Amino acid sequence: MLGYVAVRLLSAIPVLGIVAVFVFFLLTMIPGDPAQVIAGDFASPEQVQQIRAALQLDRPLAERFVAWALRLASGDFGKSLFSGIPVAQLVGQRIEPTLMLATMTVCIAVAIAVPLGLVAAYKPGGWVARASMTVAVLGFSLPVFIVAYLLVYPFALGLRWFPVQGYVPLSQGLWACLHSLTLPALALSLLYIALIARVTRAAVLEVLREDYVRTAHAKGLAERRVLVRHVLRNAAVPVVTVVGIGFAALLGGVVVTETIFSIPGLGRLTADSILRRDYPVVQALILLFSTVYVVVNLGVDLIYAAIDPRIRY
Amino acid sequence: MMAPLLDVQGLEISLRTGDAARPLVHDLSFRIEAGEALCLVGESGSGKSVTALALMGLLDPKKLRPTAGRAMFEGQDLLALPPDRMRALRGHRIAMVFQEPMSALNPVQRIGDQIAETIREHRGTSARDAESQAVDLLDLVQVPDAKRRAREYPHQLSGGMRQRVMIAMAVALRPALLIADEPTTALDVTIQAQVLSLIDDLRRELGTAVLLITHDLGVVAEIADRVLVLYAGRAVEQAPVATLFDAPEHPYTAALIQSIRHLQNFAEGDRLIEIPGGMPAPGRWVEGCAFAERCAYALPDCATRLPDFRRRAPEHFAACWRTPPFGGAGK
Repeated sequence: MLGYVAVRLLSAIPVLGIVAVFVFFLLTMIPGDPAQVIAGDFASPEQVQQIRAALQLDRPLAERFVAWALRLASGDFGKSLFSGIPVAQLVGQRIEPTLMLATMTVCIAVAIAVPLGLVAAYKPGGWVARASMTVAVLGFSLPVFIVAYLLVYPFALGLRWFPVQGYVPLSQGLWACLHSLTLPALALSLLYIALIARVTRAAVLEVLREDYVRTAHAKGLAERRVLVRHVLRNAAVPVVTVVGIGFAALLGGVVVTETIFSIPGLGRLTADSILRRDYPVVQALILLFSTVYVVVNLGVDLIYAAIDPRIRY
Repeated sequence: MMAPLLDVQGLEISLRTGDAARPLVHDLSFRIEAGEALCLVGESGSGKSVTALALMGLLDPKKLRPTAGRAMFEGQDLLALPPDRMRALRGHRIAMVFQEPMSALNPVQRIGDQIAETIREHRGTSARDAESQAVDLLDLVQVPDAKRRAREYPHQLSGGMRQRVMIAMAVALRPALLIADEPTTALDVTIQAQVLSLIDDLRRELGTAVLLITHDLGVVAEIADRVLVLYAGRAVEQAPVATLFDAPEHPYTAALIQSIRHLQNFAEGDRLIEIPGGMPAPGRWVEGCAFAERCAYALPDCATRLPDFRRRAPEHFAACWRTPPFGGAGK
């Protein structure tokens, strides 16, 4: 098992290398000049040229690539073209809010969607089944910014249970942090509730037809025990897969939600950096997101093995 | 006389299709005494598995349900028990072994836990006690190295071993009745005999009555005290096993027996004897005797007049207008 994990992590290195090369050249192809952005609309061509020289953007592409790749190999992501702050520091500050938001969103989504999907499959045509499928349609079709404002209006402006905006860092206490993230996490979770509930329902419907479920009933087990011990665990693999993909996607930044609720997370940093043509930051972020996907996928595979003894690595 | 362990009277099981209910099993009556082995014999679609599931309360009520009759078991009607009372009986007083050992065990649960689960559910035994009882049960069904096996998962066991595990699970609480639905059909021939004799040994050892469902007369000869032959959802003959093999009173039974006798004495160049034609599809309405269209002894009336299930000898019943001998098979 440990050997398998090591191999999987090592094999991620060439993947990340390819991503890095691809990202470098992709960014040079998009139109726009960071020097122009930094200098502002009213700068003279000389000023822009000066900034460009200072940032070494006037060097040939190949030379810049080699310099960047060498620095990257030694673990140096460079400095932001825009603010001059080291990229590692800039990105590092933004990880916590996004990680907290993603984790909370996934926890809410799983806690609501799995029971919903289970009951919807177990009692097809019942009110839970119909309600959950309505939620699923809503979740898929309502954009997150609408859901966000629908939540902010009553719960933040009306009842004042939660702040309208802002993020309380973890250092000020877990509870305060979670409290500040409640509305954004709820807004984001609707889509994931829809997704996970549908996948759970489909997986459970399939497992309910299995012979071993009939065996569990033949043993005289209580309904609840049959569902939890025998059905849910066997239906878990596809559910874990979507939860994993969802978690990785959430870590990849949720620009709109972070903007609406002014959360200083990775999503906003990504959007801002792209607009400013802040290449080093964008490159570092994309590498980070690729790493997240690799790690989450590995985590999901390891969970498979924990759920199903027939899966061994 | 003491009441039988199980007394089924006039059981009818119907398939729900839209508004109409099509009966799959008609007016079926039989009894099982404590400790007795009754074999339910018939081809696929004759209604034998459905009958077993009805007795277990495991029919899918959206598709199939008992529409008439009763099944008295230890003073209670199994067909009319509320679900929670039925659940308390299942796995405890009545247990069932299924045909497919490969898929009937939960693939993600250790087999020891699967056995222990039944004990804990009905007895509230502690996890550790139930666990050690599970190991004892694996010993009882002759699973070698039971302690280690209890920690394994179903995919690590052969089909025969899995069926032993199913049996261990079924007899865990010493049920009064064990229903075995084609328990050996999915197994290798060499394993079949072992599993059958295991069921027979347990019956003697634990005093458990057995309702064994099979299409295989070889299995019947091995284990049955009495035999009930089903055809197209109706009982056609019932007799003690020796009587049935020696002097069948129904042409269908006679033809079945003849075809296996023929197999036993099969010589090169012989043709297999078969009963021509096929059974009417389950639920298809037949006015008279359902076997008439395949029967070599059918009278003109047979297709329109349903024969009673009538006593031919003290323990021998058959539903046929004719009387033996039934020499040749089929038309």
